[in-house]
Amino acid sequence: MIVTALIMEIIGISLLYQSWRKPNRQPLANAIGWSVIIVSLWPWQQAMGLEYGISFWLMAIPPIAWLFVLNNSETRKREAPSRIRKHIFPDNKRLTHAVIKAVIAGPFLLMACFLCSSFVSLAVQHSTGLVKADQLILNLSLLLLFWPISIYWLTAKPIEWRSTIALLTFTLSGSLWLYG
Amino acid sequence: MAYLKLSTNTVKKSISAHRSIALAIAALLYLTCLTGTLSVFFEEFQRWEQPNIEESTDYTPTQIQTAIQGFQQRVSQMPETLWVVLPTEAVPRMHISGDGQEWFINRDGHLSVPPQEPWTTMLTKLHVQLHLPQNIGLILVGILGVLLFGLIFSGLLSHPNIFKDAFRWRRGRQALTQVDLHNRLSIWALPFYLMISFTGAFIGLIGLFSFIAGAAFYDNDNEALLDDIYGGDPEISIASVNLDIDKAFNTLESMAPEAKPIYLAIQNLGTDKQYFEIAATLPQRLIYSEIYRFHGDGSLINHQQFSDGAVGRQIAYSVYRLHFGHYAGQWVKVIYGLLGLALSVICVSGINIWLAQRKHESALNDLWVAIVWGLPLALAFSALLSFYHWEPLWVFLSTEFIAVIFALLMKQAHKTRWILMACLTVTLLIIVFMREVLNLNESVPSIFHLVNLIVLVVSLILGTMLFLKRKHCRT
Repeated sequence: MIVTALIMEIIGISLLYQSWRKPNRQPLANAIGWSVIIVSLWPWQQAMGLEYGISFWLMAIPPIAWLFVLNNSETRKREAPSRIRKHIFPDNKRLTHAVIKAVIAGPFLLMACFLCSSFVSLAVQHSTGLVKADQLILNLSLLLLFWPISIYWLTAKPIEWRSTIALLTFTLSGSLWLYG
Repeated sequence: MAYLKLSTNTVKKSISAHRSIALAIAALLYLTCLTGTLSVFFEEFQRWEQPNIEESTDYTPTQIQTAIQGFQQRVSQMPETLWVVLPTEAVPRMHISGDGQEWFINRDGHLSVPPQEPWTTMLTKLHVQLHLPQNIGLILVGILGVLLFGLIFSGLLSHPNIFKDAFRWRRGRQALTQVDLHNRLSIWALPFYLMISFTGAFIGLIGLFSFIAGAAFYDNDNEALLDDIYGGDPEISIASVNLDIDKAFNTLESMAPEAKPIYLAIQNLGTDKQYFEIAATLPQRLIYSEIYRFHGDGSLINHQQFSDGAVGRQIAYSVYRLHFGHYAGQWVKVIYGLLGLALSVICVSGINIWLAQRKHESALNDLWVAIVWGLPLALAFSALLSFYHWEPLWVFLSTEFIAVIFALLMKQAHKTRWILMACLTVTLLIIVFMREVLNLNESVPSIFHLVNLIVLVVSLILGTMLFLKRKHCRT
């Protein structure tokens, strides 16, 4: 079963690779390739159980794909031009902005995300009757999902005072309501 | 291949976010990835560091009883929890510990020497808590997990062509090679990196979460919150002075024949409240273990329901093995090692791309080389000197400090890189030589020679790279 699963993954990635090498897009070959890769989960979980099967299924993909990448390497030799050395001094304005963002991304976003994840997990618990352990783990999992995404949102753009103040107000009032 | 359709504005903002987060945490993230990759093999390193210990995968309840008596005789006060770690395929050694005191157990049950694995301890502690006070360190490493998740998210949105270029690798031009290396290593192992960042963040931040959620919903009673997730202590209805471990093993054998015991935890030994737990792994399950609890007389109390309780509890107890790669045998460790190394290379190549895109060089180039090659050198050097009883943490910190100063004084990143790599290669060769010479006439397990062989192969690969890059050093 493990050999079958591996062969299926190799075939799937090989199909993707063959499609990728052609100048025009090959939607059918791509779809078949992805389908074969997805179907290979079945022999993996038959051989090793669902939990190990999923992890092996995902772990087998990168080494196979990297072999195709290695096979496809092209060499374009050219020396990089030498560059001048400069003394760079930190820009105070950018440093201040970075510190402000770090403060917002740290405690404030953590609390804002905790408020949101608590609200969602409690709502799910009330509507579906989750047991306490499930609700707490859902809460933590959502927090670990919301927090990095909101850090991305914050760092992707310059500080906007209006949205920052709205975030701080939401966080502070929510925290006061929860802990006050 | 599929395409991600993103607006130019989104891509620009995502690149900016990806760059900002990466620059802020690059060094710490690289340190965590590198030490994490090595920590996957901490059991092998422990056996390599202290090879002269009796090894066997067999044990008997009488052996455990003798060891407990031996422990009682050696300590002035019994700990609240006494741990007896049973031998497994991965670590065929048995040891007993409590309140920071620990000894190996011989085949006859008598206590042997204490574990002496200073370098492995330093390595794992560096990964888990960066040698900071435990709570602060754990939280900081957990936050690194969150930020790694953010980097993966922003990285995906910064590269609309990441699927289109899924198999492209242009070698030769330094900047392009770094870009392709970074993107190809990233995209194909994406689920692994997401899993590692999530489980790392989970392990690091569960304490902080219990603090915040405990204050909000449990009236500051964190213990109650953790009991809801992991299950609480059992009610002891039978007071027994004796410990009937034999009966407990027989009961476990009949109720869960597929369970493989990994440790015993004896609680409140010698009191009315004494009971003990047998933790056992179950086949094809990612949970760290199921815990079966017994009265002192060996009768079953209950099991903690990590294998068949609430889904949340099962998930909470599955993140550990999933993060460490300690399941389904040695091959998983090897794959985790490779993927961990790939993640470390992604960290390095990301910053290399940023440095290559600048129109000038500065002290940052030197500093980055000192971090990238100084850290493995510092780890190797601390391993070497720990065999001569030098404190590995101080050797590690001093070596890294010297590498940074050296790089800043040299002001030639290429040359510095070559010299640091050469130092690393030589240090690894000396380690292999010294380990084999020091244990020449000793009976050591085969894993000892295997680790030495792998270190030797790594040093030969580095040596080849040095030879190929010798031109850089001359110029």
